[in-house]
This record gives sequence, structure tokens and C-alpha cells, in this order.
Amino acid sequence: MARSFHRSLGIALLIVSTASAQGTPEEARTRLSREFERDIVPILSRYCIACHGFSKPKSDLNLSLFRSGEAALSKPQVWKEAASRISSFEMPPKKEPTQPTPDERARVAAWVAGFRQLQPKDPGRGTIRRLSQVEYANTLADLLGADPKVADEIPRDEVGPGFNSSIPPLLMEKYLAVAEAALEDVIKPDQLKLKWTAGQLRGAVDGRFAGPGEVNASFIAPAEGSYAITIRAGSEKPPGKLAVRVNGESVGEARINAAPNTPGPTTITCKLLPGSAVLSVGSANPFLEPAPAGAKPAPRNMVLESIEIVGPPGAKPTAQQRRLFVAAPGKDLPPRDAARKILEPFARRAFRRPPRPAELDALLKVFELADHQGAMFTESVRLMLKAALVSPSFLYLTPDDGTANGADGAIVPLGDHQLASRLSYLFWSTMPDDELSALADAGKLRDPAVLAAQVRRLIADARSRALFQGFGAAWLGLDHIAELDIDEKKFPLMTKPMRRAMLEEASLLFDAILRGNRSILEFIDCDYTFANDTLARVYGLDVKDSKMVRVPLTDRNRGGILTLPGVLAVTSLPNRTSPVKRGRWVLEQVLGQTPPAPPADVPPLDKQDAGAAGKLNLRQKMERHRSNPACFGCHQTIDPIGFGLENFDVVGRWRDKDESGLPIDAKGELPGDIRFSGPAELKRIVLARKDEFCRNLVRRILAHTLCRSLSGYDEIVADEIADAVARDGYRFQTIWIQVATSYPFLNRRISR
Amino acid sequence: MDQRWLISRRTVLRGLGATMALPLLESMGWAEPRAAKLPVRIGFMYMPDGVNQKEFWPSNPAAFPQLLPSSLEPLRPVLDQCLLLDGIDNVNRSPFNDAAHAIELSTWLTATLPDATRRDTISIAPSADQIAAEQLGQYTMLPSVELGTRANELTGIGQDGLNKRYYTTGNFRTATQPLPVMVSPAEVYKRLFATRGAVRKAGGPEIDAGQFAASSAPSDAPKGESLDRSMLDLVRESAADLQRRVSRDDQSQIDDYLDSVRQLEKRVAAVEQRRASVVKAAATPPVAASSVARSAPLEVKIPAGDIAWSEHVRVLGDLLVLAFQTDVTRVGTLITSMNQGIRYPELGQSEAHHELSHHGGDAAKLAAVAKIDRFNLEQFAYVAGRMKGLKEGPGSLLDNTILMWGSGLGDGDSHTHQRLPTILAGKGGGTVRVGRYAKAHGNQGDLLTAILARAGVKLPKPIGIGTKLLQELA
Repeated sequence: MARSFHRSLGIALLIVSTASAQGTPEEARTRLSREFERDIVPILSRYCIACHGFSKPKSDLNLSLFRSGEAALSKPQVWKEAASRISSFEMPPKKEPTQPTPDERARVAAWVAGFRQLQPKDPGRGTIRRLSQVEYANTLADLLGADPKVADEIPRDEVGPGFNSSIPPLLMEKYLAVAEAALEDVIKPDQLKLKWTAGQLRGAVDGRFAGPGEVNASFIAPAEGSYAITIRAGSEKPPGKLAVRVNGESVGEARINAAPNTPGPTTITCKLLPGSAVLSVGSANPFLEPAPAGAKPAPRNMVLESIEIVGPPGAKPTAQQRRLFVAAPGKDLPPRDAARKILEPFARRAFRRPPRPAELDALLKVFELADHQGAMFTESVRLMLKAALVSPSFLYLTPDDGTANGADGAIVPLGDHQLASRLSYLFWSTMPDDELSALADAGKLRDPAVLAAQVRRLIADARSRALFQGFGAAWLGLDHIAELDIDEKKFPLMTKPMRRAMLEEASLLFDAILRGNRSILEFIDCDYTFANDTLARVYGLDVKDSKMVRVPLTDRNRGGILTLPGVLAVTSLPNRTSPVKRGRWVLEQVLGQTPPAPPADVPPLDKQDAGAAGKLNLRQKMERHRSNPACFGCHQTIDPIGFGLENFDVVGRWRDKDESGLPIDAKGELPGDIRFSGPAELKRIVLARKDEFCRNLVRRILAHTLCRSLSGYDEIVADEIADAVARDGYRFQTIWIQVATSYPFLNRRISR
Repeated sequence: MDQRWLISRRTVLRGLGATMALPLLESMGWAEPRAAKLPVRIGFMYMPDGVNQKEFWPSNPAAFPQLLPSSLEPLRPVLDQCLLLDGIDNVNRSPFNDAAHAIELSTWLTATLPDATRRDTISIAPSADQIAAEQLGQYTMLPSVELGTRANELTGIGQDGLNKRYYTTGNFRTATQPLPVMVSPAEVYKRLFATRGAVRKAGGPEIDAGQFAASSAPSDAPKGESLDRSMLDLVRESAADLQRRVSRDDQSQIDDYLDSVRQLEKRVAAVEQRRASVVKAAATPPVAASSVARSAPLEVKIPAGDIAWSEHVRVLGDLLVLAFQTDVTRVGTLITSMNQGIRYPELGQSEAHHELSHHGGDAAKLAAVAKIDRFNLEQFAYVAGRMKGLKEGPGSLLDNTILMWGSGLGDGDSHTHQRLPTILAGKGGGTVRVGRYAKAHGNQGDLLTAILARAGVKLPKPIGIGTKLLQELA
């Protein structure tokens, strides 16, 4: 169902102020019912009932069935549809001589807008969701000190309405692999201690061999350095000499002086490089000497009891390793206890809340799995931490820990730790920092003063740049600009660096308005932008820097999101501009209206004169939208906006002539007799609808924050926030502060 | 017919741009005990936006296949293995009238509409391939593979309030879990065929530890995988405990998670088993080949850097064929392109496929669409041809496969869900009569039901809008 797209520009909407009157849903019901009978019925009788009455109602819509306010309120969908058609001048049809006055149209729209007050106060279902790719990568970086690039193999996705939170098996495999890689990076095993006993050595039976025998074993040297190889062996007729080789190269000779039945140790040291290696030990004097005269020499019997390799000695731990390994096993500290000392702070941070004893025990069992198999302490710890990183308490935000007791449908506030997570992932796309965590631990975070101060702190922090990547890029449609399909033969300017610059420009603009707490109206029009030498070619400006710098704009046609080169590119087709796409973008992304898709039965061109059609320019071809009533309803608004931006080509350069050499005609006329020409005037018209823009941006930010589409009570909240923002000079930060302290943000409805 | 035999019995991962060869493993047998016949594989290849109907359907069915419509010309080398089905309709997309492209792919393997009351989330039905994978996947390392030329994770709400993932997803593991496709050939190869991760070494080249398998005693073998499995077991227990504490909505999320962990454990076990076979094969003298005559595994060249669409499709097709041949899986889908973002510069076209498919009767656009159809069928013929060229038992791999090519729209201009272009290749183990054109009396659900039944999948009821088994396959 299309939202009320069909709002004409000519109508002043009274909706915003009425919505802020908060009565109970019952009071709203009574009021709306009375208003229907008093205000709406006369309008219907005068303009609508003739066709939509009892006898042969057009489109099967019989409005005379609604005899009372109660009856009307029982079918809200009918009225939403009716109001939207009335507002767009679609109804009554143009040919009817008696038309409602603008006030009357507004009255109907306002009454229908009041429906949202019928909603009871409800924060909506609060479900957990998994971390997005960016959130996951950032969290690994903050938790472990890992390079966020380690998570690159996980597909990119974005938080927001429609975010799919399922974890298919392929993704689970990747989580395991990435956790493995991240931990390996951080906990580089820097020491090796391996021991092979007789039965484990290959090439000899029970470590015994005679003559030119050889045994070998493989291992992985973790780091460059000095390694000690200790061989416990015995030799017939000592000394037996053992040639020791690593990867085929000799590293020394061990002299075995012990007898075969009392093997003793001999150690040689060598320098090794990191990596896989094969250790081989073979006899250097395989035959007994001297050989008896004339006879073949007898082989020397050797017995190998064990081979051990240790090394290299104490590498210095990195900062990340010191942070993780807060304890080490020793004489007074058994390994499991040392592991617990490491686990507790780690799990607190990884799970973003105090871990339960049962969870700790389960993870310590993982530690023991490896420990009991003889793995080194760091290896066992590594396995344990890996288990934590693939557990749902890490991957999901933020599971209830069962303390939120309540019946099905009960509304409960978010726990402190859930709130801390929600805040940090909203503003920074990463886990809470120490300050937020401490406040959550102390149970202070939900105090309104503390909460407001924390929200301000999170916004002011440089990490809030994540808001563009998390919200802004998708809002403007630039999130996939790197893969945007543009015919690069026609538009060679659209290189990879250019796409990056386009995205960066939008990011810097967004950030400037956020950090400076500027008015959101600067998104519509402002006198500055950001560009580097690459992007400047689109603007026709002279910028020498290869880094993005702030650039003043004197051309009134430039400035603001409508004319961002990135936006102009993503609203084009691969080989030409698309006024329809651009018109839609402005209506949807800026003004919050959703035009429905074209009807499926658009008549094919062969019904027209094919020859003549070929000779029309783009604008003239699109005039068909106006001549066909099925198209006109929406295109009377979409097309003019697009034409207003036609001076910008596919990559955003200004042009006065189009591809066929004809001069661009950037004039437009919007319903309600609003005429304009060119981008500067178009921007002024959009600015005049600042409350619609404000409301749209608020709704989008709220939906993004709640990670679902808005419904029911959310709409009331959005209205209230939009009002508050308008009263505060339309400041950008106010939206975020209002949203992060709003009722649906702080509460959730349980379903058991 | 590929007669080349492998020289090396080891797997060496040389990085991108390499040709991959697999050891001829004894364990490349069919896992189920005493299989009476060779397993049937099911494959799906998808093209969006419908076809140029006039150039696709034979105007004179009696003269088929001697007289071929122009778009079908590329099928000639495999025509005797193909079945062209005419008249298959899918589900009517109402109430999603404005969202043809969200519906075309998401209903192609489900024959079901998304749930209108929960349209902003994914709530549809398990797709036919996943229903098959549930059963046939018991015997293979991976229950199924999903491949595509473009990543398909999209967030947001699209037309008619539908979740945008519907536009880019044809495979649904459950009603609520859309499956991602794998895009990178190197990644696909690694996931499907590598015996273990390459050993990393600071600053040095990667070495496959499998090279050292022969020189280490069994107890020396790195215990990574079995530790991982036990670790996952413990994680799963802990997660089940968490699940008991959370609200009902959250429980279903964790259900998803638990299922995936179980899958992961199975896969780790399978990799372990595969590695053990490599070690065993290297250590023991070669035994007599199994009773089933088989070609050497397909050699697949993994390209480096950016590649053209057709090359991408062909290498993914090769990987799918190799996966079928080596029984890594028996169910696979290749989304050759999606409605969004596909253009054919290789054909000299600068407008997107979608734009051209809205031909409005324009002759030039229709010709361009026919060109696209032909190009896509070339790739389908290539994949079928590869399967045909691999010996398996008395016949070929293709004889034991049902490979379905099609689109979710009949015509991209009118967005019709009727008369979907549908071509099956392969005899399905002798259950499909090929080399002909047939008028179909049934819908997409009936077709999917019939295909699955022929592969030995037991179905409690037909798929989606299906009510019966489509008869025309026989």
C-alpha cells in the first residue's frame, strides 16, 4: 500500500501540530469520531457521494455506508486511501466542476493523520539482532586489537529496516574462520614446546633403528629464533652420532654417549625461521667400526626414547597480548585458574554484560579440551576465546539475560547493559567503551541526566563518524556507489577514485552538519562542500589537493544533497540521466513520500507512431506521462523535479546541452501552479517544505535506530521528535538526542 | 571427453590465477552404503527479466528440434539432452503488484508468495533446492551450494513494502532464512575442495600442510579440526541454555543460530574426514578403482582479478560441475544475474538488461533482449556440455543430473508470471525423457515437485502452488 504520496505541494498541512496533542487512545477515538460527523461528512456529501454513494458506487466505494464516526474508524484504510487521492487532486476528477477548497482538502488530510493517535503507547517488539559486518569488524578491533580487515570476507550489510538477522551456515563458517584469524593475529604463538616419544616418531619401530635409519617428525616453528633440540637416545658402541636436519638442511650433530638400555639426553641448538618444518634425525655413523676384516660392516643399533624441541626464548609480549593475558599459570596458579582470570574480564567485554557463572564454566570446559590434550597454555586460551567469539552472546545484540520478568506483552525498560550496547552501536558501530560499561555496571545509565550526557558525549566523540556509514550512506543511496553500473566508455570520469571521492564528500558533509550541530536545512542547500582534485573536475573547480578539503561554493545551483555528484550518479541510468529516478529520489529520500511503481499495463510504444517517437528528445518523450491519466497522477510531480536537475549529467557535471545537442530545458511546474527553473529554485521550493523534510529525516533515523519499519505508536513518537527539532532550530544533533532518549528506544515489549 | 589424467596426487594452492587439480580419492565414493544406483543431482540456473518470447518458443513445435527459434541456437550441442517445457505459470504476484522483480526470483524455487502480513521481513517458504538438500545433503559434505555473480545481501524495504532481500534471493533455507550466494571463484574453491586451510607463515608463501601429511605420524597430525568440533559442541550447549532464558521472538533467532552451528560441526567433521583420506591415499599404495567408471576430476582454472560476466558464470559453472562430480554436494543453484545491476557490455550493450526488457514492443530493444537470451543460453549449454563430457558409470554426469534453466518472468515488459521460459537438461538418472519440446500442463510448483521426486526426495506435499507431479518430464 502506497503511503500518502499524493500530497500536493499547494496544501499547507496542519498535521504536525495536531499530532502533538496527546490524549489517551480512547480520547482520540472520541474526538476523531466527533470530527468525522461534524467536519468530514459535509465535505463528503458535497463532493463525493454523488459518485460514491448508494446507487452504482464508482470503484465499488460506497461512502454512504459510513453513517457514524465509529463506523468510519472501523475502516481506516478506506480513509487513508481517500485522503491521499483528495490531497493529490486526483479526486474529485478534474472534470467535475465543484471542487473542494484547499482548506477542505487539508481538513480531510488532517483528520486522517489523526488516526495515529488511536495507537496505544507501545515501544514495539524488541528483538535481538546480530551484529552487522561493520559492527562485527569494529568490535573485534576494540575487543582484541585485531585489524578490522580480518572481517573482510564477511559480506557487507547494513543495519536498518529490513535488516535480515539470520545466520546462515555459510556465515557461521565465516565467523569461525575470522575469529580464528583474528586471534591468531593477536595471540601469536611465539614459543614452541613439543615432545615426541618413541612411538610417535616415524621411520623406526619404537624408536629403534639400525644402520642408516632415520626418523622424522613435523612441526610449525612460530617465530624466528634459537631452538633447543634435546634427543634422549642410546647407542650401541657409543658414541653414536646423530645427524639432525630441519627441512633437509643440517643443523648439527648430536653425540650419543649413553648405552641403548639407558638412553640419555643430548641437546643441540639451532636457528630456525618461522613456518612448517620437518625434523629428521638419522645416524651419521651407521656402521660399527672397525669392520671385521673381509666382512660387511655391522650396523650400529640406536634407540631413540624421545625428541623434544623448545624455543625461541621469551619474545616480548605485545600490548594486545598483555591486555589479554592478565595471568599466567605458575607454581601457585594452576592453568585452569589462570584461564579463569583471563576469561572473566574478556567475557565481560565480549558479551557486553557480566557473564553468568554457567557461561564461564562452559568456556572453561573449552579451555580444558585443549589443555588436556597437552596443548600449550596460550593455545588453550586461544580456543577458549574463540568459543566466546562464536557464541550468540557475542554475535547478537543483546539477548535478555532472563531477568526481565514479565508476562507476554508486558512492556519493560531495556536493561542497563542492553542500553549501553544500543547506544554505542548506534553512534559508533562498536562495543561500549569503558565509561559506558562502567555506568551500566553501576546501574546508572538509565538516569535521564546521565543518559543525556552520555548521548552528547557519544555524538561529540570522533567515532560518531560511523553514523554516515551506518545511516547516511544508505539514506542518500550512496552505499553501493562502488559497484554502481555506469558505462565507463561514455563516462570515463567515473573511475574508482572518483566514486570514492563522491562517497567521501557526502560523508564529510554529513559529519560537518552533525559535529557542528548545524541545521538540517543545510542538507538541502549550503554554500560549501568537500572535494579533492579528482572530484573538483566534476565541479569545474580548481583544487590541487589529493585529500578532501572544504571548498566554498558560490554557484547557487550547487550545494546540498540534491546536487551531490554521488547522488546525481546513483540516480542515473548506466548511459544517461533519468529525470524520473532523480524526481523519485527527491520525493522519497528528502520529502518522505513513496510514489507507487508504474502500473503494469503501461501501453506499449507501438501503439504510438513509432517513427515520430524516435525523433523526440527525452523531455518530449516524457510528455507522454502527462497525456496519459494513468501516469499523470504521480508524474506531474516526479518529472518536473527531475527536469529541474537535468543540467547535471550522469556524473554530476553541469551542462547546458544534452546528448543530442539540444539545450537543456530545466523548467518545471509542480501541482498547485508552482513554477521554477533550475536547481537553485528547486532547492528553494524544497526548503519551503522544511517540516516535511524534517519529519522524513526523523522517521528514517528512528526506523534505522529501532532497526524496523515504523508502525503504530512509533509514528506519534516521530511526530513529537520532529516538533522538538523544529523548535530547536532544526539542529541535527537534536534528532539523534531525541531518538536515543525516546520511549521505543528505552523500552521493549516482551513476547513469551 | 576429458581424458587427461592427473600427474600430481596432491592439492597445491598456488594462489589466484592457478589451475586446481584434485587428488583422485578413493573416498570419492557415494557415502550411503551400497547405493543401488548413482545419485541424481539437481542444479538450477537463473536468468532475470524474462525472454523475448517470439524468439524463444518454437513457432512450429512439430519441426523441433530441426527448426530452432533463434535464441535456442546455442543449445545445439546439448539439444538431445534437453527438454523444453512450454506453458508453466508461476504464482500470481497479487497483492505485490508493484514488485514484479522482488517476486520473480523469490518465487522461482518456492512457488509461493511472501507472507503479506510480514512483508518487511523475510517470511516465505523453504525453497525446493533446500527441501532437496535437507534429504540429499545427508550424504555429502555440503547439503547444497549457492553461487552467483554478485553479492546478494541487500538491506532495506522496497516496492510494496517488501523486504529488499526478496529481490536478490532465490534460495531460502527456511521460511525466514534467505541464503547468501558465493561469488568469488577462489573462495568457492577453497570452501568446497581444499582439504585444510593453508598454513600461514609470517612473510612466507602459503604451504598446504597436506604436503607434510606423509611425513607425520597420525598422532602428530594437527588436531585443529576435532578440537573445533568439540568446542562447537560446548558452545551449542551454552547457547541452548541461553535460548531458554530469552523471549519467544529471540528464541527463533537463536534457533537459526543453533542450526547453523550444527551444520558447521558437520562440515568440520567432513573436512576432517576428507583430510584423513588425503593422508591415507598418500600413505597407502593405490587400490583398484571403484566399480564405477569415472572421469578424472574436472580441472578448473581460477581466474585472477576482474573478469567479464560470461567468464565468471563459466568458472562458477565449472565449480558446480566439479562439486557434483566429486559428490561434495548434490544440490546447487547458480544465480547468473539478478534484475538489479546486470548489463552486457560484452554484447556491446550500454543499457541495463532491465531497461531493455521493458521493450514496449520496440524492435531494437526486442532484438537486444533476444541477444541477451542467446548469450545466457550459451552459458547454460556450456555447463550442460561440461557435465555431458564427464563419464560416470555407463553414461555421463549429465545423465544423472537434472539441470534447470529459467526465469521468474515470462516477459520482462509485461512482468507476466505466465509461460515461464524453462529448459531442463539431463536425464535425471533415467527419469526424464529428453531431446524434445513439450507443452506443460502444470505450474511451477508441479514442476519443482516432479524434479525433486525424480531425485529421490520424499515430499509430504507438493511445493508451493503445486498440486501434483508434472507429467511432461517422462
